[in-house]
Amino acid sequence: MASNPVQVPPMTSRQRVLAALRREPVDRTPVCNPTSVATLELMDLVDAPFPEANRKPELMARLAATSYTELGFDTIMPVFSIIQESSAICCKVQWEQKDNWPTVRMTEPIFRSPADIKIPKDFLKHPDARCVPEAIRILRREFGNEVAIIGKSMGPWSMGYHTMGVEPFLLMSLDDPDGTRRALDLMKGMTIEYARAQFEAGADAVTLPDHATGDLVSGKYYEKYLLELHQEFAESIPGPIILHICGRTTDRMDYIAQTGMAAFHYDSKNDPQESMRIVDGRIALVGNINNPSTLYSKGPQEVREEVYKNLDAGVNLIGPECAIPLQTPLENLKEIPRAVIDWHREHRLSQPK
Amino acid sequence: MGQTLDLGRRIELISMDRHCGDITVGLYEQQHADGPSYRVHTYSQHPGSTDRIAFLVRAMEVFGGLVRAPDGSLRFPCGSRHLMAIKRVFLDTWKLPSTSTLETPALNILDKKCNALLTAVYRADGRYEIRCERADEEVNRRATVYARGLLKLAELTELPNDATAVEFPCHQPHHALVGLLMRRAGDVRTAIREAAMMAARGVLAAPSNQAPPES
Repeated sequence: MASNPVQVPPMTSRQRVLAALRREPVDRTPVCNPTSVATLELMDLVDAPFPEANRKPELMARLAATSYTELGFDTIMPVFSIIQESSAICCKVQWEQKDNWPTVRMTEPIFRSPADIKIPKDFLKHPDARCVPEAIRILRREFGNEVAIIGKSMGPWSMGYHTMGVEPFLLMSLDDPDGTRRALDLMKGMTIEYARAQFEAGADAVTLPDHATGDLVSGKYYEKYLLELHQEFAESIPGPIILHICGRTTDRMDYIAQTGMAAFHYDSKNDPQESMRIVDGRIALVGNINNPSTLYSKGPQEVREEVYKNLDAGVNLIGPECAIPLQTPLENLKEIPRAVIDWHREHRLSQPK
Repeated sequence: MGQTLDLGRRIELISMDRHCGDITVGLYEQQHADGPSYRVHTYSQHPGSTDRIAFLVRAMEVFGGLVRAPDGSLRFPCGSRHLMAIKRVFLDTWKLPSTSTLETPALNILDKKCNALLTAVYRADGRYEIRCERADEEVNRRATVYARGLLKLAELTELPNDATAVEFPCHQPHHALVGLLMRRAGDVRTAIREAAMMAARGVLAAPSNQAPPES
């Protein structure tokens, strides 16, 4: 069980999140969504449906704000999807309808080899890229310093999948290490520039998804290709970064803890106690409530059990493991902050909010 | 806090109701001392959404044999849960445009595979038997298929020694509900597959796990 004998005065949501990202004492553990908690019902509530909410800043901000105003989270994260940059550099995007996610047509890659990679210098001006900083500005104006606003900038491994196709990129990582490094090097600038634009717009932190997932990429490959790159991001990007990698990642958490990033958003496939032991206080952990089984298919009691498991392990920020399914029931999402408050009350570590 | 309501546990969802501006409609269950009640709700303010919800509630009354409580919620007359059944009523009702005429479903259906009229005959204590005027191997086989379909669609009780009979665990009649379910019982796999496909929408996969987009 985590112990925090320091009594901390009541904090705003924003203060709480920023302190937790610095691994400093908090009045209670923050509830954080580094990834989307948009749902169909929330889209209806604020009249901000997909796909338009991914492309229009006013709709994006309005839907994103519901994480704070309706669900009781301590964060607002307006970048629901993972396609904004890809669209801005002319990947082919399938925008889908209200009830589904926009996706990049990775079977129609725009780059065949590292020699093809050219990131437009003005990609930030593209409407699908510009949308995000504009939404952040809207949210900052509306909420001031009440709540933490989190942006998102895709990492170069993920962009490699989007621009070159998953299989070609993975094969390149096996057959052509130099080519892979060159590709990552050519795309890293976009990650940095987009993150900077969001901090300048008022973001408090930025999620950086880089999908070197455990099922396809070993921990050794993370060290080989991404550790130094992620360390460079931590040095170059002017604010807290929350790294996000799906799947089982305990084989690389020791490396991730060396990146200098503020936090790692980790998947439910990883045990909270084991994960906290591996990172050993060198990076905060965010997570890891299971999406497909718990949040989507089960009920508030099961959600509460997973929240408590994370809190018992001392996880720094609590939230879903990844972007939640759009059909996730609201009562399960609302249970997360309720459970966090109750846990603190039961453990009497500090005054709950 | 906020504008979302405490409607109970959501047990089913229509992502996009094409008959009313793609609004999202939920079916919620609340537990009471005298049994559960069910509520149909949308958070959308789309023009016509109120009327659409009213139609869906009325349609569920007729097709499911449900009764409406003073607070607008729905219950089975027996007071029992029948979770699978009410989800099926909801999922079949939303397919109707609001201009549809609502009639209590008949307890029989013309099965095209055996070209015979199959009827769910009520005996007593919630027991229904699938019968036909004609008696041959194909009809018996299809009657068994329908009985098994009803078992799956409404979580009914199988009866020993009669593969063509089913029983409601509440031991009460549910004629409208059985009539509705007879329209699905002959091909349960399709019904289950449809529901599974609807439920699978809206799940974001990591790039390495994404299926190719539909053309």
